Amino acid sequence: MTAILGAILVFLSFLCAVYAALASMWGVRNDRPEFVESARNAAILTLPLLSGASLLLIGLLVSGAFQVEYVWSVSSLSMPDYLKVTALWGGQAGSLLFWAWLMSVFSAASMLRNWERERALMPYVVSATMGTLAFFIALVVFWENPFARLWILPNGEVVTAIFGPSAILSSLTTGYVNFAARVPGVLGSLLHDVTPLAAPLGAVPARLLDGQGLNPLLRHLGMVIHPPMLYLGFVGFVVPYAFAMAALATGQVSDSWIRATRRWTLVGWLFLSLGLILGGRWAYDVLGWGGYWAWDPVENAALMPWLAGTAFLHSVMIQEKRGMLRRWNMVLIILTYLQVIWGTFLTRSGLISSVHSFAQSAIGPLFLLFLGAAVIISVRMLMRRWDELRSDNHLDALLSREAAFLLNNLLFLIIDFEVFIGTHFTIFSELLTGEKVTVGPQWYNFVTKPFFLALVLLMGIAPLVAWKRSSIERLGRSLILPAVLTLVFVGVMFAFGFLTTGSALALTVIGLTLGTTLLEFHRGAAARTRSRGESYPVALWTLFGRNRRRYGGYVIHLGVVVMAIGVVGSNAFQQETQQTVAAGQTITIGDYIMRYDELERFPAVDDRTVTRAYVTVFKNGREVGQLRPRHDFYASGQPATIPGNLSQFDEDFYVLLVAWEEISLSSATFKIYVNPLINWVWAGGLIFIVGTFIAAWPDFSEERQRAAQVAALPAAQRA
Amino acid sequence: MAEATLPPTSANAPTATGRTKFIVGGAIILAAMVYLIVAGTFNSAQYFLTVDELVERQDALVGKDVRMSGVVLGETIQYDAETLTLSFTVAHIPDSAAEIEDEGGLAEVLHEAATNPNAQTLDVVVTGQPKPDLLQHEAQAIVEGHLDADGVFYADTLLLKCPTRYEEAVPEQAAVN
Repeated sequence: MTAILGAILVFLSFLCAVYAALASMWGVRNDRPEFVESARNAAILTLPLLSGASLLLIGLLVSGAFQVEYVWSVSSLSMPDYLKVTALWGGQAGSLLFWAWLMSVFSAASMLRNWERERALMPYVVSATMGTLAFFIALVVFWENPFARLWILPNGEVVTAIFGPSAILSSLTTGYVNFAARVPGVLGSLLHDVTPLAAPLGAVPARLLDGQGLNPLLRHLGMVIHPPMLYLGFVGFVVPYAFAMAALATGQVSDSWIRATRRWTLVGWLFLSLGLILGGRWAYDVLGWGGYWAWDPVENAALMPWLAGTAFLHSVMIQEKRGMLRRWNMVLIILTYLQVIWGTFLTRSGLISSVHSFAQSAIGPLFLLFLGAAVIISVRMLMRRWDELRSDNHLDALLSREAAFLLNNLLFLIIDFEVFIGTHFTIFSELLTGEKVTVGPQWYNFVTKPFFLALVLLMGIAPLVAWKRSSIERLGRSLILPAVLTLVFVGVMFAFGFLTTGSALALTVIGLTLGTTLLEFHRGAAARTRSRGESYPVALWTLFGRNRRRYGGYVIHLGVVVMAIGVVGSNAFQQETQQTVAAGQTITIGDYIMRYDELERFPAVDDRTVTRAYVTVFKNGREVGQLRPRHDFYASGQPATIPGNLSQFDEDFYVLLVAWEEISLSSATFKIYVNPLINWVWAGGLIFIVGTFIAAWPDFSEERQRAAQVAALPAAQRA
Repeated sequence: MAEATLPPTSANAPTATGRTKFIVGGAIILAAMVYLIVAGTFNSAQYFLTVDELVERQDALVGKDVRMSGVVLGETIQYDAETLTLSFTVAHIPDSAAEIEDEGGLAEVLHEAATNPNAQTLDVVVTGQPKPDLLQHEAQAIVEGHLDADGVFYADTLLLKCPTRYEEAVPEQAAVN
């Protein structure tokens, strides 16, 4: 049966991962390269095994095999096919399998891509990636198995198990259950929660005609893409961590591991950034509270590794250029990895109460165990090589590029620390004072805003500061033009009363950085035009071609600036109103008049009843659009409110159908938000992506050169 | 700028004054962080209480901004669309994760509390908000606001626990062939 095959494939992948992790380590320590090769093969083998298992699970979801408990809990007959596929990551067990599958994709890719070039590091990379993978597969195999099926006992009780009743397996299972019952405490409950191997004798398959179906809030395009992006981001950062551990293990702490992970870090970082932005977009589109970031613990869980990861992304440039900040970089990547695991744990364990978080689960203590082991191992290895990580050079001046990057690290870590404190505030306060105290968005905005602004400012100034030592005069000269333009622009806006003091300050900083970043492009292109006579557009193109990392990075910074403008606009100047009106009546807000036309109700696909309002929107007297905010009520009792949104360049007109008169459907209540500059947030995200592609684009001539160099070395020296 | 490494400086050890500058700079920034955290906490942190705790300490907490969690009693939900006033009653639920585990999980705890006639209850009033989709019988509500002298909780924000699909749930009835 499909489910049994799926369970077997996952179990085999577990064996492969464990074998690969151990054999690789043993092989490299005892100089038995054949075991390292074998480990590599086992590691790569996890990919087809987990791919097969995932495809089988998708098959079960699509075909509606409701005896499989996971299929019953997240799928249903009335769901469209594409949602049945995405239900793969709609629940705990499936999403863990999905996480593991993505991890196997990335580790296989690094096995294939980096094996020849970083020969000495790779055995340890195998161990680190396979160790992480083995943990996640273990969770799936033993505690959250998506292939477990439902069985009915003679007394009517429903149980889950992987296999059906059989003489050998059932008695094995009963024996294990009796043993587990005798183990006390947390260990006992962990052992008790293991998915039973086989159903007891006398059980019959539960024949269920339909499933519960996916939570309606998850049946949206944003929810389709958002978790995969986040998981890819998380998994993407495991690879640089693995290389860092390999560098510590082999003592090759200088440059090879940084060079090897340059693109991996960018890939993980891009996906994590996308996941965060898409999460905000989904919240905005579907959850209907007019905003996109609530500082919810689960959001913070993804933000924290992003903060440490972004610091790492920048800081490694200093190590490449001047052999400095080596210790910082090790600490940063270890922190990123630990926060990836912690973040995955936070969203699944119910530790912090959150509107997103999921129920208490047995896997909580297991995550803590794994995390503890990871902390101990990482710190021990770091301490062993601490002296060798000493910098080649030292900071000479406070005003230098190196110092700017040091400040960059400090600022990101401070925000990371603040978010950590805020997310766990209740736990800390209870430990320290016995009282449960909690903090909300107001607190987070207050403590992080100054540091975020400082980072935006740094983004603008750092490229202008020279290596080793720079002078204030030189810096001042470079800043004059952007500063004057920005101050004039903001000053005028402020004088006309368009800005509050806070937003004026923020926009000044943002404007300064926008100006200096654009100037960087101009200076580079102008220099080429002068020295090589290239036309401006050609100069600009070649500039990007020759310095992808640098100018791609500047494009990403531009994306950040655009997003920052969007954040300031949508936070500082949002307008809202809520009114009840009869058909034909209007609501006025700002420059807008919205006329409520009619309300209709009808059944729709996916087993829901839709109540939909038609409204016409006028801006400054001219009709600008017709919107259809609606309310979906699913047969399972789940409701969902979908806003009608008129997106314009400068702002969104966002309306929710909040209530309506039940009998005659004549009057209705609407909540309206006007969100200025909100689309700059999403546009900034797009610029982000473009910039990352530019920065990460492979330099084919450089690759050919490097490959030739490696091939020219005698075999023993390839490392 | 070419991507070549720069030669190391001749002086490999930083001078004492050189290093002090950085330490002082870092300390100032860290001090700013500490200040912001402390000030932010005094300004906007809230006690997180159960219904029992809030009622027990009413006298001390009247008017104070707190956050409270309870289970919604469905039959008490009333919404006046004209005045945008939402009112409902919540019953006490424990907040310790261990206690919730012991009693069989959050859904079980919510159900128990909602059907227990002896559970401490508290009336909640929310104004200016649309009636949330998730406001149903046995939903977990997290409200921020203050308790008034009349014993009613006036909430500024209302959060409802997102229905979970990560929770283990076994179908109660299954067709047997």
